[in-house]
Amino acid sequence: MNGSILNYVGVAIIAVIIALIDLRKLTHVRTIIVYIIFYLAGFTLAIMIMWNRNLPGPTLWLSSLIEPISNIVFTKD
Amino acid sequence: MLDKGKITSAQLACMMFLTLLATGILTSSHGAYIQSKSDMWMTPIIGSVSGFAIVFIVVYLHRLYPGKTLIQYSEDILGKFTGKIVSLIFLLFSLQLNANLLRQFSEFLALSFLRQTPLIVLISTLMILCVCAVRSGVEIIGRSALLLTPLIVLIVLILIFPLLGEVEIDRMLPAFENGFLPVLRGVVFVQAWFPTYVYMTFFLPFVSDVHKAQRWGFISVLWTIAIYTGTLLLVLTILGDATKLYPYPFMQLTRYVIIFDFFQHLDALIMLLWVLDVFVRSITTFYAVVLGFAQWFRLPNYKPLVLPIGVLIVAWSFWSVPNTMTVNVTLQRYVVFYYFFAHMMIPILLLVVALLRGRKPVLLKQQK
Repeated sequence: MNGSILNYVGVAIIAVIIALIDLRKLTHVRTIIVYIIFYLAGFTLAIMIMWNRNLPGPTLWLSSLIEPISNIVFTKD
Repeated sequence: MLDKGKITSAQLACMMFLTLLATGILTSSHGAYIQSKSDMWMTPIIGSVSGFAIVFIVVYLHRLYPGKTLIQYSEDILGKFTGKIVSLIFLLFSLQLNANLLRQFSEFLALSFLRQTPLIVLISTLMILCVCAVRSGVEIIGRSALLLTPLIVLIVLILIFPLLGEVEIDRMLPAFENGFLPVLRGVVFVQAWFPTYVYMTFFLPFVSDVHKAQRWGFISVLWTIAIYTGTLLLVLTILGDATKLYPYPFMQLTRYVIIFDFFQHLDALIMLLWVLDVFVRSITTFYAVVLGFAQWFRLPNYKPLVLPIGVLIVAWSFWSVPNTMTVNVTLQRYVVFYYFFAHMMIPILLLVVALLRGRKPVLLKQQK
């Protein structure tokens, strides 16, 4: 588990460094806001997954929504 | 225009062909066999109707709104508010597609070849490569697809030809054992990949010979049908009933390939095929998502968004699918439906409303 967390932390550190380098070049205000929104969304999601590895995601939500149709169309094997 | 690059219709056709190739080859046969048994080889031929339809719809919408992508003309067609909502739904499904693709890529590599490597390393490595490619612009994506298509087709042929001696035609029988319904079930499963041609919408504004786009789009669908049908026939006539035992039956086949008694274990070629193909598919769909969000937010440049959206997709790929079991189950039974909704129903809705509004198509001409 520790090794796994280290992988995430390593990737996160690299991403933050690149983000800081990137942000220095941006001048358009809306671009900066959208950039920060997406970065925060990505990191928040990453932290939530590290917190709870089995966090239910969109595939599971959509699957439960589609299950009745899927059961009619497809056979179970 | 957010990107000044230009590509040709042939490059676009190669991009779309590779977008469907590897996942279709590797994963479609298992699901198609479960639904259609010995009739599974027919499923890509019938299922391709959605491929031809979506190419026609996307090119026709481009003729109605030249130089615009789905994100831009959905506002023109449905009004600002509804258009924004519909295009956002499309973009969220595209994010989901990208994330699922990355996850499937890493799961396949981890299961078959790189067993000790953590998934995050595999996913991040591919994503870093995709970020570099997408930042380089549409021309690089087009050229990469054109360059890699012959190589990927060559790999597929190298894997297919030595197996022809093992074919037993009897395994295709009985035909229509349980009527036509199981074939239709298989069609519903296999056609899931064809509406991916909707991503042409993000590249059409950059195509120089855009008047040839529809013809090349149809040619690309025909290539896909040929490869899919060939693969399914091969899997069926060699593995027969054992197809249902393997999640990736085509890879199982390649383990039997022996050329001149000394070339063996060509399954490494499958890894090469998989990595090259997923790379092209990822950069194509990733470019579409990034460009789409830049247009949605009306930004002057899409490049600053490449990295943050890349980070979001990496996180999303773990969030979307919590474990390997879910990857396989959802792919077999559910993904088909919501991809069909996003990639087929939204463009159909846009086309119908645009036609009801009385919009006239223009004749597409060569761009400079």
